[in-house]
Amino acid sequence: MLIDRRARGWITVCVAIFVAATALYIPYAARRPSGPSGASWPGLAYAAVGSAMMLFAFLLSFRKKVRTMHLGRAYYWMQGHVWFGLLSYPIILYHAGFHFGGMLTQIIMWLFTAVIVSGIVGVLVQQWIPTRMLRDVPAETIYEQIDHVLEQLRSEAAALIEPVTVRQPQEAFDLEVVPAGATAVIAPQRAITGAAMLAAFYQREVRSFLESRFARTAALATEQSSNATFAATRQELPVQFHQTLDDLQSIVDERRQLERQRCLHHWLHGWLLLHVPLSFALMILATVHAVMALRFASIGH
Amino acid sequence: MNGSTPSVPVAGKTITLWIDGQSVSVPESTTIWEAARQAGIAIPALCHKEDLNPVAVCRACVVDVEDNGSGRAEPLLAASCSRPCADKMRISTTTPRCQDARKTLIELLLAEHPRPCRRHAENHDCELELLGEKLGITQPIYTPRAFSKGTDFSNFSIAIDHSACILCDRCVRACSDVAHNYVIGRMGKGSLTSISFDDNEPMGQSSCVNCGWCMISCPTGAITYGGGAQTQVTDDQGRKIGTPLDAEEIKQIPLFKNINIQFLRRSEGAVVVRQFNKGEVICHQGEFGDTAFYIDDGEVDIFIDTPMSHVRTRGDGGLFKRVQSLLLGRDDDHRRGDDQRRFVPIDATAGDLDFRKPIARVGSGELIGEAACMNHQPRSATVVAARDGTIVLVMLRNVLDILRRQRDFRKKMDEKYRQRALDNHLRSVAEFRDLPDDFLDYLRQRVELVSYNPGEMICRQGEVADAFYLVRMGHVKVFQSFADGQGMVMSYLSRSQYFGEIGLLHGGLRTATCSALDHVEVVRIDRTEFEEMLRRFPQIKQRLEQEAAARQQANLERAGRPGDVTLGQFIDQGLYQAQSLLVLDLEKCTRCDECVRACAQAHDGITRLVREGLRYDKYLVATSCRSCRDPLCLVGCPVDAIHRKKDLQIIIEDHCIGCHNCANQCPYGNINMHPYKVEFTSLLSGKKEIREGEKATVCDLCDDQCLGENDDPSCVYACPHDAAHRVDGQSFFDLQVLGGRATSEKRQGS
Repeated sequence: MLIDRRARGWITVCVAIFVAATALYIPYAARRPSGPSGASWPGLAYAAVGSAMMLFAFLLSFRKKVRTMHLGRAYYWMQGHVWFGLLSYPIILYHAGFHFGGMLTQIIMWLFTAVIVSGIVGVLVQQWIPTRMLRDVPAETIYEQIDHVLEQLRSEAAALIEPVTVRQPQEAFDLEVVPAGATAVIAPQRAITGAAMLAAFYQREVRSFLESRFARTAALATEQSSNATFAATRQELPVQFHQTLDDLQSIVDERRQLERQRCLHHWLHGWLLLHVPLSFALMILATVHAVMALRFASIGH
Repeated sequence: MNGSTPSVPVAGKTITLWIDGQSVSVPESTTIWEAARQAGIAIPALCHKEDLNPVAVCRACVVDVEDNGSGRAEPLLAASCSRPCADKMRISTTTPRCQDARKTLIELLLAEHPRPCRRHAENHDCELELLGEKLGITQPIYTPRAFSKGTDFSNFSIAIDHSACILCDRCVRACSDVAHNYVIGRMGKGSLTSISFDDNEPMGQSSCVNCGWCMISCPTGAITYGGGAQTQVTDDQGRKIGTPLDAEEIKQIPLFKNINIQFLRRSEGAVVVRQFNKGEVICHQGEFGDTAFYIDDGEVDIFIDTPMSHVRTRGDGGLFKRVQSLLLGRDDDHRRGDDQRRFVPIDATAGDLDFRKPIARVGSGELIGEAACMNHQPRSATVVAARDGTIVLVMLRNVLDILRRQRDFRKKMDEKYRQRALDNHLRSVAEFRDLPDDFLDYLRQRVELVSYNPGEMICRQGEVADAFYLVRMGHVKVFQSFADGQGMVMSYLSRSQYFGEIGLLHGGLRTATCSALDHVEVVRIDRTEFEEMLRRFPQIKQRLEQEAAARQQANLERAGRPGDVTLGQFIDQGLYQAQSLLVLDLEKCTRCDECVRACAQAHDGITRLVREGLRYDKYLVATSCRSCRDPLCLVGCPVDAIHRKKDLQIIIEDHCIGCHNCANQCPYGNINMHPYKVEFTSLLSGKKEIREGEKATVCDLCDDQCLGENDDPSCVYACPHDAAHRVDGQSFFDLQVLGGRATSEKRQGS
């Protein structure tokens, strides 16, 4: 979710709630001889408010399952999820009196901290990575289609190389192109060598690079080294092979972009692998805690 | 006159005149020549032909006007081919004055005509020489032409002899008005005048497309068949079929007896007689074919071999249950887009098929596949022989075209339509569903059945509205011009849709220009009969008024949407056409695919959008229906299953036969075919069988469930990052080029 001017209203409301909660907490904490307690009425009030916020944030995952029901736009749910979710942490801290308590509550609080931190990470990456993806990956495709596109790139590259490698020596001689102004007669052997060189380059560097995974240390792995490699190869190849080499370079560039897309996509969504299961665990344990506390604790003390 | 058959008078006031003492009653504006023909009196003519506009150049058809209807005799002879009748007119075709004039004219023409000309030598049917024989002209008294005007054999199948040409202009009109090729013209002056091709090129080097219309129309041996044309009828899979008939054999078949033998020679192989046994398939629905079928003997079953239902994909069997495809009919699952039609239009004279049981049996004398043959549409239904020994004449488009222009054939087909199909066709229009049988009987002989060639105008915006039209075949483009000089295609109408009611109901002037996109046939109900219908049936009037008001409102809304944006890539990519683009802000989009999932959830598990497409700066234009201003996808559906509703949404109905036509028509790949495999009860055998097929799917702007305060479609409603927007082409242009703040999503209908 990109935080923009439309979030101002939400931020204002949350800040106001936070300020009000803090303003109420300070005298409450100061007046209690034994310090703030979760079982006290103010503590329970904070628990109720904080839990309600946590529940609302948690319900986003269910809201996303019923996408077409008239339950309000998903964008507003997401705004509520982020801001109320963030606000729920200090509210729950006020409920707990800044004590993590026993075994269960400690686990809950650490889970909660992890959920909040992963959520903040998620919001931060969403501010930055979509724009990076837009700029770095002009050839972006749908993530699930990356392997299919790679297969197409491999076919395309193979189709480019095939006519070069099956060219006959005589034909190579006939097709020798002498650059304008050149005086030397290029020996026919050079064309054959050029085809072999290009084929070898393709086999050695390009083909392995177009596989689903490539080594980080590959010569074509970065734009800089790829450009250098292609430039060096271009210098050694006869002119008639330059177009094919340029086409291969385009394919390699696109391949690199797709890898970049894959990497950025993992960053953009990877935090969910932590955030979602932890939040489920958090809600389960928080429910257990609430039930246990209301049943067995001394309310109002 | 309306329509493309110029000698067919418009229904209206009937007048009475006398021709050679015989009383004749005809509609007003009928020509004298036509009135005489109806009375059985043959007036000779050389430049006039049934399907051509009269030009009165030969003057062989002159008649004596003894009383022009006002009690006055006219001093000059009148050319009957172009002179309209008047009430109480008295005409004589055989006065000495007429006969002398005619004889002199023919003698003058014969003096310069090679005798016998090529046509008369081969077939003994040169119209000029036959007329000369009839008038007893054996040797013209006039001096023949001293020089030859030359020949042209450059075309592989048509031979030109300029010396035999009488400059009747038939070939010029046939090439321009009938075939719309505009190749033949005239050149030269005086006795050196002759026909020419393009800029006086040899015919074989001109833009002539060898349609043969000039040859069919020429009355003499000036344009004849030169040999060399080869034709072969193939089935819908491209395989050669049957034994071709030669010209003489075709001529023996009563159906073709009035067709020019030269044309038949040129079209040898274009007609095949096939015999089918019971159960043999004649054609399959959805396939493209270039032949029409005439049932000469026997019976056939016509049916739609596709379930009348839509595909719903469910994964609700649990976490590990596989996604299952079901077919649900409109009784089980009503969708707002369904129009609850009772009949499905098909390409046969036998009439439309009942939606609930789309099968019909037809017998001898029926024509099937006319639209498929003429307009290159997919077959609308499957046809199977119902009896052993069913004889079918399979013919190519050129033969069908000629046949359709034969008066007798046309009359026969029209009569069949009136008796068999008109009732269902009228009742298939929702507003006319209550028409009683007696009123249909009243209308049956009063409606006109009119044909239009591709591109021909049916009615023009601003004209006085004089008729209501129901489309029988083909597609009609409805185009509205605005005061600022801009214009917009409002709709494409196909079989069972109607137009012309707005002008008749409100103010009397046409509100749009309607023209034929391909070969169109309409049922024309004259203003008088239409008003009679409204007078007798107030409930129909009410429904029509409601529908007319809704159409006008929809047209206003469409017109009110921003107009064309003529700028570079917007034109190249067709974005100026779009009225509803799905645009994704890639700086906000986290590629979560919630839009795609929401679309699938809203549409029976089948997404109608792909999150891929053109990119402009930070925006991605997703592949999803654009609600184009000119909806090309509507053109060509053989069963009228795809429509545009008033809020721009495109709807594909349950009786889609999966022919791929709309998917192929969409230039942007926004219509997809969804495969299904379900158990289905065969209409023919009654047995259950597993049926695999496809149905077309398209974004319908969530017609059933507009969501949120702006009636947003699901893709926009479900986006958690405010990245998805529906905008029109103009707003997107503002955003992209002008850099302005994006306009908020337009309301899709209110």
